[in-house]
Amino acid sequence: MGGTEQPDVRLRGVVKRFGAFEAVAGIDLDVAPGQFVTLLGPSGCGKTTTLRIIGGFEQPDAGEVFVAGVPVDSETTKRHTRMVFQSYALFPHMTVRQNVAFGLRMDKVPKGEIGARVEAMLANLGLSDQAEKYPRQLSGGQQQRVALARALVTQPRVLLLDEPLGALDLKMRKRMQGELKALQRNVGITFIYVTHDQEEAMNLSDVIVVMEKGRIAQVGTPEDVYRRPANAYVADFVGETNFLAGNLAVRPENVLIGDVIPSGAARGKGMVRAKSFLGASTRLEIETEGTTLVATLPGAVSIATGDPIAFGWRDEDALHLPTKDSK
Amino acid sequence: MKAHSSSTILLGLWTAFVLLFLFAPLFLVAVFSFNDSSISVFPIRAFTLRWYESLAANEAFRTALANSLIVAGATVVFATLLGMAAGVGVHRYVPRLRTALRSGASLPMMVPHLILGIALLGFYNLVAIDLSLTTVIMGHSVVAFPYVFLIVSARLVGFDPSLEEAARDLGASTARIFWEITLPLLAPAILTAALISFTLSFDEVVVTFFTTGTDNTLPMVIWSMLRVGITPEINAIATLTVVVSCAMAGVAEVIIRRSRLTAAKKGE
Ligand SMILES: Nc1ncnc2c1ncn2[C@@H]1O[C@H](COP(=O)(O)OP(=O)(O)O)[C@@H](O)[C@H]1O
Ligand SMILES: [Mg+2]
Repeated sequence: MGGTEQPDVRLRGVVKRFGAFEAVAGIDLDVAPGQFVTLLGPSGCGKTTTLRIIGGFEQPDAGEVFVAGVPVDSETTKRHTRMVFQSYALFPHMTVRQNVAFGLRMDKVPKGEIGARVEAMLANLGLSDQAEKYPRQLSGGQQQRVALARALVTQPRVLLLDEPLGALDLKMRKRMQGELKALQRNVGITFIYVTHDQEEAMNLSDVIVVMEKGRIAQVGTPEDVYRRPANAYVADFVGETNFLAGNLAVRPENVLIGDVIPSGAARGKGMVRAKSFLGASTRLEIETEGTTLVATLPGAVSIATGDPIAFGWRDEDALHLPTKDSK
Repeated sequence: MKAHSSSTILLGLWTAFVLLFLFAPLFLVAVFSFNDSSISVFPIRAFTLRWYESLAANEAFRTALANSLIVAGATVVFATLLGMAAGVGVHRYVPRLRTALRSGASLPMMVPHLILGIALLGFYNLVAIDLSLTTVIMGHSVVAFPYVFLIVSARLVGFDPSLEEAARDLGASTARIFWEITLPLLAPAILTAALISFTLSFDEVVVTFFTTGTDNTLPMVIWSMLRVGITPEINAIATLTVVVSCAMAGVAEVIIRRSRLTAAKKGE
């Protein structure tokens, strides 16, 4: 992510402790302008804390944070970042319009301009009909959009989002993912997004930052992270993985079975222990030499549980992970 | 099934008895205050407003009522401001001591008013403050403060801290956050606390007895009038006091319900 362009967000050696516990244990990260960057990792790995440090809500115990080249100081009120909270944090005693206007009022934007900008933002997010309602009268998805509108109307350089879809049901989540991605392209600003859902991260991101216990495990595009995981932890967390002997691994969708295995790709024989039809694909668990190999095959397959089966994979599809102690 | 229904009947009777025991005296006081007889006995003779009229003409009563309203009003202001500031301050700045400070602040609620009154009198003597309505107001504020503090604290516990963070994130100063976010959201609790302070002060006798100089409040006047027996005027005063207290409690209840409803909807 080099070039001469200044990063929107830069973290250098950032550490945050709670008591003796290091929630963030030394993070270096550059985020280029206009990117959709996701902090991905299991619960408790320090994603929220990192985001809150970028937003100026927490002071790091060590390291430096710059947004738009300016050091972040939690005392300064004018910042280039805005946060969309996991709970949305909409002001319950204000209407949608008043919520969205709040930041502009605080920035002392002239009244007429506030009205126009709020209307435009509400229209942009399909909230014009809800302007006079109170947050409690809205659905989860609508509240989510108000939170986005309230942050975006102030035209920040960087928008911080902490698991913003976590409270929505699956269908709504999928829909909002699409809307979020479109919105980010539309406004063209940097989004830093926190989630523990790897599918969501793959779907949304230009860049994924995989985190593990307060550290960065890998930074890369979704394809990088999936196809070239930096280590076993990333391979395991992002997508499903069959770990093989040595430092090899193979994704279930790259496992071949039966007579489609080209010469040189055959790896062994086993027995189908479980089979589940998932609609677009079929998932097989193949038992071989005391271990289980998972294969996902497109469509339906005519193999039954208990059948003997040959399996294999192409050399180029195997993942070469660094050995555990090479880190 | 039969046992169940007979126990239900027993419980119903018991409840009715308790309610009767609680409310019959109040009811009788009100009835006799409108009875055209100078002694409080049955049978009821005729409806009259003359005891209320004679009260209205009674100089001691009018002064006492004015004093009571001044004291209760001032107590509301002091107790509410102090209790609110303490509640918000403790919540925000010393979260670790919250529980300890809350128990500490509720201590005056458990001290008998007799002891509190004696302690206050001793204190005023020590610092050489002359007894007056001001010292009564100070005493009543001590009585009401813990209620305000606890009510405001309870409300703050259910307060989403990210609301204030969101306001700060959007560029609000600390003062702005307080006026635009914290205060409006605390308003129902503050109003409730203010009403309770008013009622506490308006009814207070014991602390007033020890901390007042020559000025009398309404309960004190009732107390002194009682020396010559229960007159119909006392019934009239008592009725008025009950009406005011009930109105205050009713308003507080409505406010609490409404804010609970809001909170419930928000939690959907
Ligand atoms: N204010 C705090 N006080 C103490 N521990 C905290 C605090 N905030 C977070 N932690 C701890 O730091 C770790 C990382 O938290 P967080 O950044 O919220 O993780 P994530 O968002 O990835 O789930 C967790 O173990 C959490 O318990
Ligand atoms: Mg989190």
